Amino acid sequence: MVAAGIFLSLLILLILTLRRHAWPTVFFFFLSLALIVLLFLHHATDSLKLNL
Amino acid sequence: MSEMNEVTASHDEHPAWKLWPRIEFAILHFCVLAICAVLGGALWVQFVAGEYPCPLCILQRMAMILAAMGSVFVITHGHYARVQGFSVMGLGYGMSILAALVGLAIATRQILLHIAPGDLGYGSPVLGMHLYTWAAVVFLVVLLVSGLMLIFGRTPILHCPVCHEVESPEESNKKFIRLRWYSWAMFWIFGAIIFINVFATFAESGFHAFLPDNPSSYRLFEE
Repeated sequence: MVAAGIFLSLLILLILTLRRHAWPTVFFFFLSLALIVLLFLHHATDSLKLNL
Repeated sequence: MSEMNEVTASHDEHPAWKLWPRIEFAILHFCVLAICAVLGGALWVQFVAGEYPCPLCILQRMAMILAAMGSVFVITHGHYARVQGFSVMGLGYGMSILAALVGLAIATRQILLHIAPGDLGYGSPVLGMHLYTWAAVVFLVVLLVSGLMLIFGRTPILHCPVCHEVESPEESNKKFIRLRWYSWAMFWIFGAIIFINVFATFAESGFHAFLPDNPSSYRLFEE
């Protein structure tokens, strides 16, 4: 569901690129990027069962 | 100083430079449609060849969509040099470069997971390489094209709806930007690809938070 949610935020970002203002695009871009990086880190480290 | 301006102006009037904005606009559309084609190929492998995408494959799709979003932003805003203090080309190509770097990191991890001799890799190879290796190539091309466009691109650049017209006050007060039909076509194709991915990913994960490491079914329909 998290992955589907990120795709949904990308769909919102696409619609926001049509707006004249740049800030919503910038915000949703970094939100999507951060979520992709966090999900990548989750999948890269979850199976290692690290004890941090 | 005035001599320098004259030199610049005379270069700007060269016929090849007059053609460049159209070429640049075409390149931007081609970049988005090329990524749509790659994502369409991935969906074909998923639904027609029946291979389930792993979490890293899904993450690479996301990074590809995000990388194409930079080109979409330059297409929609390219007739302005700056928007709310942001350089349009700087923001657009900056978005593409950041997303391509993240995507390249994800693709490189998956390549390294399966690089050992004897490892069959994940999924079937296409034209001799696995899809995640092709994804790394796509991200490298995005980096190359974005760098070249930052060097050779011009602002305001494009042969777009309002760049050769004076924008009326009513037009500039509208919240959304007007596009030409071919830009709308590109926009809808790209939107459709993202929309299909929302449902394809939801079908694979079901009501679980995360995707399984080695998916073997669509959990939404299994449970």
